[in-house]
Amino acid sequence: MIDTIYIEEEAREHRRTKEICQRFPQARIIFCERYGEVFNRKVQNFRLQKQKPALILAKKFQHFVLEVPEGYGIGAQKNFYFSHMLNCIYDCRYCFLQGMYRSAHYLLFINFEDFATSIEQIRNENSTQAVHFFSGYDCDSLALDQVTKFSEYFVPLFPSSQNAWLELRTKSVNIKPLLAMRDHNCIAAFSFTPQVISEKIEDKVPSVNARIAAIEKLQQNKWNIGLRFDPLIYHRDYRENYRKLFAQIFAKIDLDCLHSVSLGQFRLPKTMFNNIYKLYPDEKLFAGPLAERKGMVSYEEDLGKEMFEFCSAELLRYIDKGVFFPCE
Amino acid sequence: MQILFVVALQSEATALIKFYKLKLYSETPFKIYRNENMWLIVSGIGRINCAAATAYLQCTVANEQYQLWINIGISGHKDLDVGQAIVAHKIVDAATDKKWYPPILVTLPVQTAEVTTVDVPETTYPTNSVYEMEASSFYAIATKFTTSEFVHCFKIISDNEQQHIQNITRQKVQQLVEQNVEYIDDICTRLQQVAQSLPPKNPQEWQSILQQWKFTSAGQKRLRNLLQKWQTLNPQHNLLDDEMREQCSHMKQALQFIEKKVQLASRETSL
Repeated sequence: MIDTIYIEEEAREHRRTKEICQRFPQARIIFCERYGEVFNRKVQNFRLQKQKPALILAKKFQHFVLEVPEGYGIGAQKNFYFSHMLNCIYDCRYCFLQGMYRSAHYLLFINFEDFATSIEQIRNENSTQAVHFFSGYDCDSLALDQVTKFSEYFVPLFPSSQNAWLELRTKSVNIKPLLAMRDHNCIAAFSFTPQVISEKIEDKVPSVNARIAAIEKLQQNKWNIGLRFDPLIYHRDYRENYRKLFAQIFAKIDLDCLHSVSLGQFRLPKTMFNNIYKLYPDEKLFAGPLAERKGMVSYEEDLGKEMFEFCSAELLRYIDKGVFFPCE
Repeated sequence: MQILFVVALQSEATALIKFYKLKLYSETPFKIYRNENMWLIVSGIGRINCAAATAYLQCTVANEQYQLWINIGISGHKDLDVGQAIVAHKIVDAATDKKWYPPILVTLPVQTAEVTTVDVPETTYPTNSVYEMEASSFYAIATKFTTSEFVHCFKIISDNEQQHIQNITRQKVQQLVEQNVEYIDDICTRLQQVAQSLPPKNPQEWQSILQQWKFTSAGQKRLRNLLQKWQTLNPQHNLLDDEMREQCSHMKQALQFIEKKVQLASRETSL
């Protein structure tokens, strides 16, 4: 799976680096001074690299935890995100990472302990209120968990007795390590598009049914579940397909375990969209009815609104408003 | 895909010329050989010659396809066997300490190694690097013309601690490249397959529509964008027909015509 591992000098002797390298005994190991020499270089093609990404093991030195942009919360006043990894094993055509980074290599920061210190500090500064931490903005939280052991390290940092919550945003069905975990404030949040769309624009993503089966197992183990329908993808039969998707999911959802449901339109900052379009000019998604408004590229206003209202109304047939977080 | 080889010596070129049936295209300032899709330039030894030749070759060829650039040449290493070939996974310029990391997208028939470019032949092989005299400048220049995934350095060991650099002859160099030419061809084939996953550089009907009306450079940009969208939405249907010719007498009308068609088709998309 991983043919090449770049190792930053600072990360060379780290225990986690050695453990990860042991998993890939055949991989070519290449040392570099700083990960930016490989990851941030110009004249790289994200689309080509996505065919065979390498793994970069590096150390992060600052900005471990950042504030979430306004409007992205799921109930708390204070919202933060952190990224132990940049890039993802899945290949979703709408994903902003394609337009954000020059390289498709998986960049893993191995100094989890420094992230934990920052999380602890923020939690202490906000001890009187709930604080939400999101992982999975810049990568899928669980997709490479077997290699990174991310959940094993981070979930225990959020005990149910404290005020901080962790959202693991994922499309992965790699949930085995989660099943034995108890007494935590964590939400396993699964992203969905209808199966017919997923097959077209979410390469390597497990099927909708497989993700629902993973949710069922997590529910049985008392996990809080999040459902994320973000981005909504327009297609001619979107009404029928989203209605079918919601019915399929809510037939299996235990509402007692349902923490939150969020919904968001397809939207990308113009510069990011342009970068992605240059990579995939032959992609149907980008030939669709898109328009630019206030520096953001999204569906044409009437169409976006119509889809959003339709899906909101459909979702509210299954859930209370209290757990619904539309991201407009 | 266009394949462009840069070699330092005529003796390195000989086996490639023979294998790919390349014909002499020009003699000065650099010898250039070519066939339909392949070009080879003989740069002369060293970083400056190689940089100049790489840039010169780019100016010589028409750049309407994706390009694969490969620097092929002999090199030295402490203990790798003479005749063994490697592909550079890291290139170090000894004079400036600059480093490059060519992304490797395909399974290679040979090992990979760090390559250090030096200005005078290295005979003591102080590190585990492969030593040679052109890779860094080749890589720095060729990556100005194409993406780094399509720029590679293929080096064949010609000397090591046991077999000294003084023993290298033209015949020996020719023979070393000959022994490895199948590997070079294999790498080219694999990277050509990767390039096939990319969309064509120009959308269909690009040339025919450009010939029909005069386009400003901003108009050309808009046209490219719209044609690409049309082709993605309706790969089977051509735009340029009698209706379009009749309705459009200049660039603006042509663009409006296409835009309307794209707009209608985009809402009908089923992904």
